[in-house]
Amino acid sequence: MKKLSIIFVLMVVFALALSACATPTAAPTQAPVTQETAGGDAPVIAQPKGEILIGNLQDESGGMKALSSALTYAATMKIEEVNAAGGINGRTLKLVTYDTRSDVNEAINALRRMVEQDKVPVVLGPPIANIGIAVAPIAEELKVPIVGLFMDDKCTIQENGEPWTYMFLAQDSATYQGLTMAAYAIQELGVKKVAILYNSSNSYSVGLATPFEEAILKSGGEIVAKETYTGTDKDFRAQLTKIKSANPDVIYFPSYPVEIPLIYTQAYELGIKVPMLGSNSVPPTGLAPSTDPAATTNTFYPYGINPSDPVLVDWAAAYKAKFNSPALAQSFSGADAFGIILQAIEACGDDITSVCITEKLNTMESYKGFQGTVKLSPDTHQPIGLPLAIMTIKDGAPEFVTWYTPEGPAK
Amino acid sequence: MGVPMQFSIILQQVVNGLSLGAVYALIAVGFALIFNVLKFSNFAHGGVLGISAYAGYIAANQFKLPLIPVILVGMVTGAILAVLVELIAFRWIRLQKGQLVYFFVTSVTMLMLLEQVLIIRFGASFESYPYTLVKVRVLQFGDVTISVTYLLSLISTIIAFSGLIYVLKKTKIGIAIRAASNDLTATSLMGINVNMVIIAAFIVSGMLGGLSGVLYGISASLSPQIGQIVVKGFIASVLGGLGSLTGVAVAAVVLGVLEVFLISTIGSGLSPVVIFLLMVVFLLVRPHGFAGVSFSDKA
Repeated sequence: MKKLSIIFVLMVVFALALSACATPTAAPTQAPVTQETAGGDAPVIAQPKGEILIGNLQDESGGMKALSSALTYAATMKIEEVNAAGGINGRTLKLVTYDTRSDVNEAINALRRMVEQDKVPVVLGPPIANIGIAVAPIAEELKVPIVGLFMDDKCTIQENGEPWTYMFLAQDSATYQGLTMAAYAIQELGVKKVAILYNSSNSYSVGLATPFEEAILKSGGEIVAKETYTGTDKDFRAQLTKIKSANPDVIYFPSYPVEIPLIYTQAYELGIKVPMLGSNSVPPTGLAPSTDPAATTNTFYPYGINPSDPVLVDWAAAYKAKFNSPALAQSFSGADAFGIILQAIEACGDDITSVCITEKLNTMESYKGFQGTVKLSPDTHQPIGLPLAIMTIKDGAPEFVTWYTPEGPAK
Repeated sequence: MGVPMQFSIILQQVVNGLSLGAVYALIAVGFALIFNVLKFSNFAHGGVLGISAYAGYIAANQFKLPLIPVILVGMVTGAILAVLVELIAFRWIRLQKGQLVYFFVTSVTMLMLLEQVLIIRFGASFESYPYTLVKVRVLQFGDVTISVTYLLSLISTIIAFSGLIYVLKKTKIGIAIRAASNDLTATSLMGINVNMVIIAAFIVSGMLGGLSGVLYGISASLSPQIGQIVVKGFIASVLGGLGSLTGVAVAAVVLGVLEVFLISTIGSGLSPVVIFLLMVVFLLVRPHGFAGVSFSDKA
């Protein structure tokens, strides 16, 4: 019996050891950093000399790795470019990456470690709203700014309507995207009866579905079906059959990449022929080879960029050559998020502190990036009115349709 | 339009449920087979299913094999892996006459371990079989459509189940497995090589796991956690009665239909709650399921 107990212990230890191997966390560098104290208990993270460390809070091994790695890759490209040109004010940059595995507790611990141990004065945040919501109060406590792609309003705006001091969004918010898609559905597709299928356990999905629904109702449209699913679901036929029976003019399904091909395929298999409106998680390369092109002949979804823009095409080619992975929408907006961080650091000169970077982010006039000229609102810490590219899929390949805003076609 | 439309929707939901139930049945029968012989819930079956699904994916994606060879790759992988699991994880405990709880804990550990192997090899992101693997995706009967991949699961379940029943009832090894499922010690005393019988059971169970892994992978998508679908097989096994393969298969189909109707009526959030409550009630009121044999030492 004793031998058996030992075997069990060994097996559990082995499984745990493998588990640890599966989460490769980038080893942070120990660059020269200091910590000062400003006004009582408020720690100020400062980097007066040497390499400038920038935190990178991403999912490197979890279910959202595909989207999250896009930011790491974009930041890596930007860093190599800046360092090759001599750095910022003569100082080179270094990314300190911690793996969140898309887990909020891991993310909170990782943020604490990168700030308290590695002393990063600013962090590139993830494209995951659930994590954005979780780390917002921690950033407030640590007084370190995070610039990311967490789209839910709750990531940047507190319940009292005030912005979180240290949270900044570098792409259009979920509310803006939801409103834009509703405007496009009503004004361009002429729909009246709308069905919504969304993930009720995901802030991103809920954050998009809610303003979309409100805008449809406000415009005189009707929600004929509203179906939900949870994060682990793979079969959506029950919900889609119910939606089909409601006979909608259009179906809106703000979903994550893992669910999108399944929803397209299953809707197609059920004979649903109405337009399918998606979110910005559709890969820019399309859905081949996993999804039958016949399943995506009538779909529209929003993007922060027009992937056919020649400047972006060149950058995407360099990106793919370097990482052997196609550039996603999050690669471009992630590059903008990182560019905003670098612009704030540059504006701080020799005063590389969390306080200065936060102040520069709050007062930044604008940043010219892949998404256009990004202006962060001091009231929401979100970009002010960036038009969204409405995309469609033709023969399995994405195609740009038009630029759109919640008010209608972009000027 | 009203009444016929409603009827076609109900019919479509029944088809959706039967399709889902067919997948669950395939998983549940492989799961229940090991319970029949060794009397414990083999959650490692989920790990076998997961790795087989990825083996089929490699065969389809990298070697561009068509559907039938892909399924065969999955089944062979499942059989080999299931035997390895038995030899590495369970045999020692059995030889030491370890308690059932050790088997149970080991099976859960093996599921976690095999999941981690997939994470190390493929990362935690998802993969998809190429859609060209199943050329005709859907069959249309009036207003009702049937997904071909689910239809394949249904047909595979019927073939595999019929084959399994034939093997168990008409062949020497099948009779030996049934004898072993009644009493391992007595079977051994009758001169039957119990180790070989158990290996045979794991081979059949692994083949079923591989088959269900590939078919489920095609109709859904692949992630390292795909093996956790074995929980549905476990629920079906509990409802059907772990001692009866027929009961388990029927329960799995009922579970699929029930799940679809719960999702379409009370929503996907509450549906699992009702199903797990139902399972608890079943365990309290009828612990041997609606067709099974009572096992006081069910683990």
